[in-house]
Amino acid sequence: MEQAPARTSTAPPGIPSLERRRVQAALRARLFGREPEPVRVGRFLLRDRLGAGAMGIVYVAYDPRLQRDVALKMLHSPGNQEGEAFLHEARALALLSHPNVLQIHDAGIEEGCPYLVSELVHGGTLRAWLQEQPRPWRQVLRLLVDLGRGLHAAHQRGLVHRDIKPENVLIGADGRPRVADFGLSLVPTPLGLSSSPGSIAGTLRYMAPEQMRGDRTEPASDQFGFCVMAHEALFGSLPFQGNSSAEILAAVEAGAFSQVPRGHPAHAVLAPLRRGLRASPAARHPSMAELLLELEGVLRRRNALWLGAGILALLAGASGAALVLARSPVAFEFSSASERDLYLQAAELTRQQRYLDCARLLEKHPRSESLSRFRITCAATGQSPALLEQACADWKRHRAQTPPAECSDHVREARRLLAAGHHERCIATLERLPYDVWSATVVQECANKLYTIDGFFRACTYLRKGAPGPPCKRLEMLTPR
Amino acid sequence: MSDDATLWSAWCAGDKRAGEALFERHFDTVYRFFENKINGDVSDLVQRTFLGCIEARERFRGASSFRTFLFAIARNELYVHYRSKKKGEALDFSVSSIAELGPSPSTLARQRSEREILLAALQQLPVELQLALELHYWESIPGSELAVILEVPEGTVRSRLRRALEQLRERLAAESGGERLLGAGGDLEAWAQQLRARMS
Ligand SMILES: Nc1ncnc2c1ncn2[C@@H]1O[C@H](COP(=O)(O)OP(=O)(O)OP(=O)(O)O)[C@@H](O)[C@H]1O
Ligand SMILES: [Mg+2]
Repeated sequence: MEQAPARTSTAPPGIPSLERRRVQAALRARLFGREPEPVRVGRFLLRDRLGAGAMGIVYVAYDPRLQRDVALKMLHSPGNQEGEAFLHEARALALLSHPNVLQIHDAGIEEGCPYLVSELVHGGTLRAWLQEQPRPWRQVLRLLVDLGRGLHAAHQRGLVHRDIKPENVLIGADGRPRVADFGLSLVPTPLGLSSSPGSIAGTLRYMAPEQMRGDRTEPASDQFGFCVMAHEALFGSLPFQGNSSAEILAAVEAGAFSQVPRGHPAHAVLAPLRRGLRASPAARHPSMAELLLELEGVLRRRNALWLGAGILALLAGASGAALVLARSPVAFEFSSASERDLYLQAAELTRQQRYLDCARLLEKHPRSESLSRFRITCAATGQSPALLEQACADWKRHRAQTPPAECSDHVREARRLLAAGHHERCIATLERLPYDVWSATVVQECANKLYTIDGFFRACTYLRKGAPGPPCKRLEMLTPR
Repeated sequence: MSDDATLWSAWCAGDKRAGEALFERHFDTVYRFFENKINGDVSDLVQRTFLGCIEARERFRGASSFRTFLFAIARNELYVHYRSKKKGEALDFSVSSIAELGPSPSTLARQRSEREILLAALQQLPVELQLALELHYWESIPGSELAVILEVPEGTVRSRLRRALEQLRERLAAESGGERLLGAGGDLEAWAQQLRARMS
């Protein structure tokens, strides 16, 4: 070997060294037809490089154990002894399973660098999605609401994202958006604001003022970032203008919002977004849930009006009924004639704009999913917080009891076992599966009937996957540790 | 172990194993050359550099070392890469810096190591100056060979190195934390050697 020259670019082991070996292995194969010998990170084999951000490099990797492709993100070395903290955080992330949150599969440390393994999303970022073609605002809003749900689910488990921005939203080929990079900004040392004036890092544009100042970040900080992103996605402009972090911060603190074209069809979301963009976290919505409710209200209000008009046509000519219902943007499946009558009654009330009467009417009836949702719309349109709250609570309960088609099989089986008194077997059916709320209700029920420590422990373990807190008092008392 | 020239002629004559040996021997150097100049996957550029050797083999007559030849091709590939990225825009590598051409890899204000501070400063120099500096002081390429790589007369190389060191000092002084790397100053040449020693 020749003398080893001093190296400016080849840093110590870690990402730079891994990346160099990956390229070398790939080129050896490409140039000389050698059998590829991919570089390993943990049990994963590095393949192509997907991209890089401020925090590290993202690869497509292969998981030989589960025989599937995954996304593997190598993070720059966190410095000293932060590895354990990282793994701890990663465990919490992996326990969160939500359709709108990028699923974390695994994590580890390789050559001093932490890495995270997640589902591989074939698609692009929200930024790319918005730039691809003009999107109808309702489609954008629906996507944002989905994302918001993912964010909310995380908040409920005590996780804070800290870096909401369009680049951190991945949209799959199926159109389902996922929030990515949860809590990762915790890993490197905190951001300083030393960046030179004029050049403002993209991320800062989405950052809540308390975060810019380096104060504690909380779910409300994510709400702020979410609203900046939503504003940009819906109106094509950021809510606060400024060329430096100081200027932006000043605009946020003064509540100096940028102008939005007056007759913009999405105008109704402006008020809730601006509330989420208040400088003081306490002045924002109490949580993502309230914000989402308002955003959904905007989506539904239009539905309700549209339905009112539809029903009018329906009453005018019964033959049009099937047609109108089939086209209805809300999925209506009437389980009985009386339910349909109820629906028609309700629709008539909305036509007369007696929304609150309608909400009260629906409250008195055993409800289906569609009627429940209708009730929420009415309460929201009629602007009665009390009715709305009640309607939402009922709806959530209803949702929790009705397993969706895709997970109904194992839940149904578990329910059968539970009813037959096979409690241990019931737990065993569900504990190996990823957490979902429908299974959780079964496990919860089951746990209350179990009498073995082991059974309790397993039920408890399962329920903790969903919520870090004590799942139920009795369990907490009986479980080891 | 055969020397570069022997391996090279064997590769040109179709001996793939010789090519592979050359690749293994020089991969790190070429990789390092691109690593701090491109923000993204450098595999294509490294690949093109090695393939470029074969394509340009008439130009290599053993007058300079294989390493020098490789750097000349690498530099060419780098320029082609930047030009293709900035289609239509006239690029002047005596003015534009890497920091302007490629998004700089890490703008995040982390606690930066000395190496990272130095890199950031280097990337703000005009490309020509950065190349001259790195190749001479870090890759130990002598002035005469540098003239081949950069395609300029040797006298120009000298003045370029001098200018590069002066500008590097200015950049370092402006970087936060860069003062630590400035040392006593005075003798530029000695300072450059110190830097080199500290970075190894
Ligand atoms: N799970 C994934 N599936 C598919 N592509 C991904 C996945 N995770 C990241 N990517 C892609 O990899 C690239 C780099 O992502 P990364 O998160 O490192 O950068 P970023 O989001 O731009 O910046 P930051 O470091 O601030 O998060 C992005 O283009 C992203 O689209
Ligand atoms: Mg990201």
